[in-house]
Amino acid sequence: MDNAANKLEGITLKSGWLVKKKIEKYDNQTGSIFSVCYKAEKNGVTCFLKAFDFSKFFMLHAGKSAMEVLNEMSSAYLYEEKLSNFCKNKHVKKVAFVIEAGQEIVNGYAINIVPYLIFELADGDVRKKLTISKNLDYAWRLKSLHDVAIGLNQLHKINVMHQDLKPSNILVFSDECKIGDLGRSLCNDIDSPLRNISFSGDFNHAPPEILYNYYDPDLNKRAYAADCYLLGSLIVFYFSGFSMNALLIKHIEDCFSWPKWTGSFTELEPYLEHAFSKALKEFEHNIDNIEIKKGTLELVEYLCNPIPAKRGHPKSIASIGSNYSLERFVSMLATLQKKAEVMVTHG
Amino acid sequence: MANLNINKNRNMIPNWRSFGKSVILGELDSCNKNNAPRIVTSIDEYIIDWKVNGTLVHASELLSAAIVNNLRNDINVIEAAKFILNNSKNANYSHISTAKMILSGISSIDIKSDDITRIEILNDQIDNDIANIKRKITDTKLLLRKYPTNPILYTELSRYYSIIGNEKKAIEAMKIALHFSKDNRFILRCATRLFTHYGNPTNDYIDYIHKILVNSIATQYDPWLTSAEISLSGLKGVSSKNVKKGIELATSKNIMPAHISELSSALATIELSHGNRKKSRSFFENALISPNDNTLAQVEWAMQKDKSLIREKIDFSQKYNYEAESLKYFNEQKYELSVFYSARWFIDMPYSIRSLLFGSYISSNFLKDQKKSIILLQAGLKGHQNDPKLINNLAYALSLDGKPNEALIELNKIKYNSILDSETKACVIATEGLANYRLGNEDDGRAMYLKALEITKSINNETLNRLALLNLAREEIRINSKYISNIIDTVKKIPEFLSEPEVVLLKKEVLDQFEVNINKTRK
Repeated sequence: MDNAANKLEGITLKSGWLVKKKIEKYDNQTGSIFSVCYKAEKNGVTCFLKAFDFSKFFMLHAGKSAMEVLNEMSSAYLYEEKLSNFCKNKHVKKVAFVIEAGQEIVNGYAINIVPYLIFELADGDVRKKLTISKNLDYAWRLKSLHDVAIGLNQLHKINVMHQDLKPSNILVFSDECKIGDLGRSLCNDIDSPLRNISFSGDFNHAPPEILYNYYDPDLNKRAYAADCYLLGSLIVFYFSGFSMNALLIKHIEDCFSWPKWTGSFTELEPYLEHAFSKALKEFEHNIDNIEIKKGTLELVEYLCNPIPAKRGHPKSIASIGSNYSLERFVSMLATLQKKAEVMVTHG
Repeated sequence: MANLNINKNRNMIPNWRSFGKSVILGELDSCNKNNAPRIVTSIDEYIIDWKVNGTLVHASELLSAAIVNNLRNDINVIEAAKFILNNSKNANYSHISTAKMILSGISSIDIKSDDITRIEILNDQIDNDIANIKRKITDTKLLLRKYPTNPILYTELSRYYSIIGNEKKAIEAMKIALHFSKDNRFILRCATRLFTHYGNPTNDYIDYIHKILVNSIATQYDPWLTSAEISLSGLKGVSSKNVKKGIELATSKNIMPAHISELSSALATIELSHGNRKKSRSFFENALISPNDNTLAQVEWAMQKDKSLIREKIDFSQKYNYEAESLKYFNEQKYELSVFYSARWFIDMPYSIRSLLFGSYISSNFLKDQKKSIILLQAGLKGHQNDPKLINNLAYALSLDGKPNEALIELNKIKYNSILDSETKACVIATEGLANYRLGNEDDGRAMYLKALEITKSINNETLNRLALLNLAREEIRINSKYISNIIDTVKKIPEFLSEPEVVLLKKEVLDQFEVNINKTRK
């Protein structure tokens, strides 16, 4: 579509960034349909520019007034920038931050204002890496997951709940992986436009309690539980190519699936757990190495339990504090990563 | 004397099948008519990603989104599934199994057919089934090591143990399932059946499960469980506090008819036992709007008591309605079919021997086909080795089939101390009497029949008392005994109730035979 956000190529922005080649949709763009992405360069450093596309916003929010749409979009833009700075100032690592934010006027369009955010440029998202390296060793996968767990844990420590952890949001850099896209995150210290909805991330990956419309009214509990599930689901994806939701719905009887079930969540729990057992069994089939299998299975079992009250590390559940603390999972992933590295070293 | 009183009261105790079968029967669906809160999520971006990148990873990501959103028929999704199968060399287990699932359109539930086409192959089928059950026990125990809090697995394990007659382990496994889930329909219904199945005066099983049902919050709103509680109260001979609630649920417009069928049947049964024929009919009619196999069997049972109770034509198209079919064909005096369906009924619910007792009873008494009866009973004994009722009926059929020695060998397997009810004791003694008659030991045979008559009289079981007398008379006629005239005088006094067709039939046979013998003597 002909609009301002699509016409930035070759322009030097007021902020001094030279907008270079448009990045065609192949990386890190699921969930980014409101934006157009470019490479941008300043002082010899190439970065990633995300230009917000107002026209898409209008298209997707048919029925809303122009002011409402503009307001929503500006809130989203400002929130992402603010949250990114908040995390950066709290010294969070393993998260891709906004390097710069600004807006550009491009004349000749009905909506001529293009707000943009500039991020570090990644090699791609994890799907690309998993594709290129079909025989990717366990050590790399576990190192990547360890990075993600560290990042997520750090976010949790400053009361930020990512909510949109999924393969397309895991960015691969030369020697590490980082979590991208804080746009759907919730933060206790910054007023978020997304606080009043049940789940702000991609519903394809949403935890079962959200899909069944049963969730804790306490936003924090709900959101931390969701992040836990999303981290587990990511582990499932790294080894099977599927989300945990996909494996769950594959094994749950049709009458209990979220599009069909109209009963209570309590009634459903045994059926969900039964399907979960079968999903875990399928997950196991995708990993050859016994030690890695055992470790990852344990992680997924704890992180992805479909019953929010049973989710989390058993020791965290049994002790005072949040069930959804990620500390133990970070350690477990570190241990597994080491084991996998030893395996690589010893052939 | 064969042990079965077919007019025994029947309560709407839930049937117990595997988890998969219960799902297929729709017994675990949610009850209310509301639609599920449908969350519509677009998979367009995953389609774009797949189209642009065309890799295995993007294909599986699209498949993920498609199955999560129930959009399996999308052309792009089908293409992605085909792509995975074409690149299966690089694909993993989940890739391949999911792609196949998408392309075949088949869900992961796989219920193997376990039916038979004729009774003669029943024993082979049961041998296979028992071998399978033993394998399933091992598999389930392995799974439970990994998922030790999964109540469905414990329920399945309990069922497997009950099929091979291991009461202790079946009860143990079910108690664990209940520990993990006290309000779940599937588990509570299965538990109700199990504890009722093994309940007897020496244990507290029925009280145990009744208490759990009464205390479960689900009994208050789930008609399947309200029905189980009301029926269990009926079995215990006490009034249920949930009858009012049950009527409310059974007449609710918010619950789909299939979910209130058992409850309506349970209420109909109560009304029938109170003599309220009109109310009973009304509840049965409600139950028959969308009946399950249990309801159909209950209706057939009720029709044995009152043939005109239900006027409308009954739809017998339900799955696994073998008990109902068996009862229906019996009521229609189509005994061959009735026996055949009793065998299918047993294969469907092999933890219970009622099906086989019923089938062998018809085979022995109405078809006079002892060989068929023997097949049925031997099939039952494969899983329930020491069951005195099965052994007794087998010995009865063997004696009538001219194998009294084999009958006595079977009877010797019975541990008399394990027989808890006087009815079975009386039957076993009578059957031993029959075997003795057939071996030429008339005095012993007669003494045993007299003992059986004494027991049946002391427990006021008139049907068994009449059957003992008729069996004795038949044997006395066979040996042309000097006592026969006195016995026949008593036989002639037996009233002919339609509700006791076996008594009516045997009385006729005895009197006919007596006439034949008299005529022979005169000639």
